[in-house]
Amino acid sequence: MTSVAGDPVAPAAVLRNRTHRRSIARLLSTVALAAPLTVWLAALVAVPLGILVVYSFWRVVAFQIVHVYSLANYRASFSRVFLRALENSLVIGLSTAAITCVIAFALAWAVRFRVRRGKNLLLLAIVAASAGSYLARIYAWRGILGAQGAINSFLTAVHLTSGPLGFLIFNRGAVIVALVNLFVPYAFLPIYANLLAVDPEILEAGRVLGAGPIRNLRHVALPLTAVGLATSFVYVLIFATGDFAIPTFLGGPTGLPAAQVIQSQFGEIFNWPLGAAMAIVYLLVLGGISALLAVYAGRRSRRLAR
Amino acid sequence: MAAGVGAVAAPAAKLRVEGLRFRYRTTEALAGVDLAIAEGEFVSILGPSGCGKTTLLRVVAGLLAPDAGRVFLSGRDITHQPPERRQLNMVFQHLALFPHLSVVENVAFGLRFQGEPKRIRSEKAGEMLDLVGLAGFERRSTHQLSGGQQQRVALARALVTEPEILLLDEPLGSLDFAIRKEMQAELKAIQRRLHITFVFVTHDQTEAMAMSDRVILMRAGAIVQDASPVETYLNPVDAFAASFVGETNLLQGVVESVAAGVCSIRIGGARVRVAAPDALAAGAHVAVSIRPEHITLRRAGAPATIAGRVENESFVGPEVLGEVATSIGLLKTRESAVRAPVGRLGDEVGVEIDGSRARVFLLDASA
Repeated sequence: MTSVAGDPVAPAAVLRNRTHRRSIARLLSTVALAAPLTVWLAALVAVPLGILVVYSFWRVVAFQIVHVYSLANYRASFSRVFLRALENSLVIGLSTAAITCVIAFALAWAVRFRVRRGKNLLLLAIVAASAGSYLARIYAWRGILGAQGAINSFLTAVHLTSGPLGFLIFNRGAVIVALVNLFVPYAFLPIYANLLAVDPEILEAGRVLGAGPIRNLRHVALPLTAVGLATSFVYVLIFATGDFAIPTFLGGPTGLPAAQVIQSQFGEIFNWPLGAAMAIVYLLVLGGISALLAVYAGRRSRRLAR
Repeated sequence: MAAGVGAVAAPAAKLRVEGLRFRYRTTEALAGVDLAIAEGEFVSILGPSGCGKTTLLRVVAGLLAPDAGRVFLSGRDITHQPPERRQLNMVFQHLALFPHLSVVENVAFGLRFQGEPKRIRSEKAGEMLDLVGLAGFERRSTHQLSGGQQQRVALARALVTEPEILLLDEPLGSLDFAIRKEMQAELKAIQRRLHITFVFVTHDQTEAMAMSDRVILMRAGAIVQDASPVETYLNPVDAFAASFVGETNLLQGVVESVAAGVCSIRIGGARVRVAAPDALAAGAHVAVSIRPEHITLRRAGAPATIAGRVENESFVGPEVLGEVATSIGLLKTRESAVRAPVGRLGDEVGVEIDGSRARVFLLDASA
């Protein structure tokens, strides 16, 4: 700004002009800051997604993709197989997200308010728990839950059971256990960051004002950490619902995940348009749930920032 | 602890604590505290930081469990009750307003747990906001309020549940001077109107003196003095009490002679005659507390206790606060600004000490 900057009685028009120029500068810098990510997302998400949408309206005739537009793929994707797989994935995703958030919240709470000594070491350990190969984890869980696994060997050795317990592995429960184990460190961080901003005095105020531990959790602690919880929930939900290696290796034969059904359309079945339509349906369902949670979290955070 | 008191304390006390002990890792925050506070009293707990005053408040609130001792509220033993079961409330040092709730929701918070229906809750909260002068602010967010207004919300939130006592943990500490003065007067007025027992923790002695019926002075986890503000100021029990409450000149001396309740004390080159406390013998090492207002400056050459030179003077409106260098040290003085000053900066003056108002404390042999 030039000479008007120091003028104590700048006329209204000048002031308006100045504010206007300032807001343009702000807009430009915002665009500049957002540009790299915008280009990246456009190239690697928006374009492939567009291609996927186009594919979903084409057809396959005699192992050839023909460019005829129809809604047939969408009708076909509401088949029993895909809907059951979608339901299975969502049940796994929602359960995993819920259980993970409860565990991560309890852990974050303990680290924030209970642990006094060795806090940094503990934080390091939690972050370190997110390292480690994904495939190694799957095999580790097979080693723990399997018929000759650690749990069954122990139970048999101490004569609590006469033979291996079959229900430990190859079902939805085993899948959820492995997914929760995978995601707890990731869910921990947003919740912990949120709890760092919660003054312990506020929790004490709730108690003194007559809220017992449970009611204090409900009326004070949870509303104050809703944003962190929703963030973690959506994050875990998206990745747990979309996972197909863990359900494949630890799930039962009946629990086919949606991601695997979709993947097979692009693989052995070779029906890319149907796979694309299924993927779009999948994205809309998961995106809808995530959007609802994001709106909820956004409202919460606006309210806190006001 | 009084023997034979049993589980129920004397009914007269609204709050009573007996033999409270609390230890943080290495420091003894409460070293056996006994205290009784009557209904409707405004009591300040005063002391330097780390003296245990906040610990005492937190033990009473139930936020800390004492290592030993009991807490009675209206004669009931509440030592092992969780905070939410105690019929008391607290205004926190950083106010601890709920950021996710509006002003009226903050105030109504405690009523929810008393089983009040929603309509009654917001009605009572509205009335209380009216009382603290925040009518019309109900829907605001607490972030939109000034420090003084947030203070009022915290107070309203703590009073609306009609607690038997209200604990206040240095709640005015974050306010600037003018608002602080205003809030002091307002707190006092509200306390008188509602007749709720207030226990007010502060490290600011002027605040404690200005507001309370009684000042409980603490140091190192123990109560040093428990008396009215006037009594605390005029008759401090020891050198610490004398120097912490109000300004004073604390001088070391030796008792020369004691006769008929008056003793003569030699402080460096000066001799001061003061009213003698009990058990003071010739040769005893003592600390003498002389308030600045008990020192009178005279023209150089006029009869005086000791000679000095004005080293510092600051005009604070009705008074001139000065420092006079003497052979027994730098003495703080306080003179009315109405009269013409006896000496200006650098002038030689006579210093007259009013020994009858001085207080004498026997120093420990170790000191």
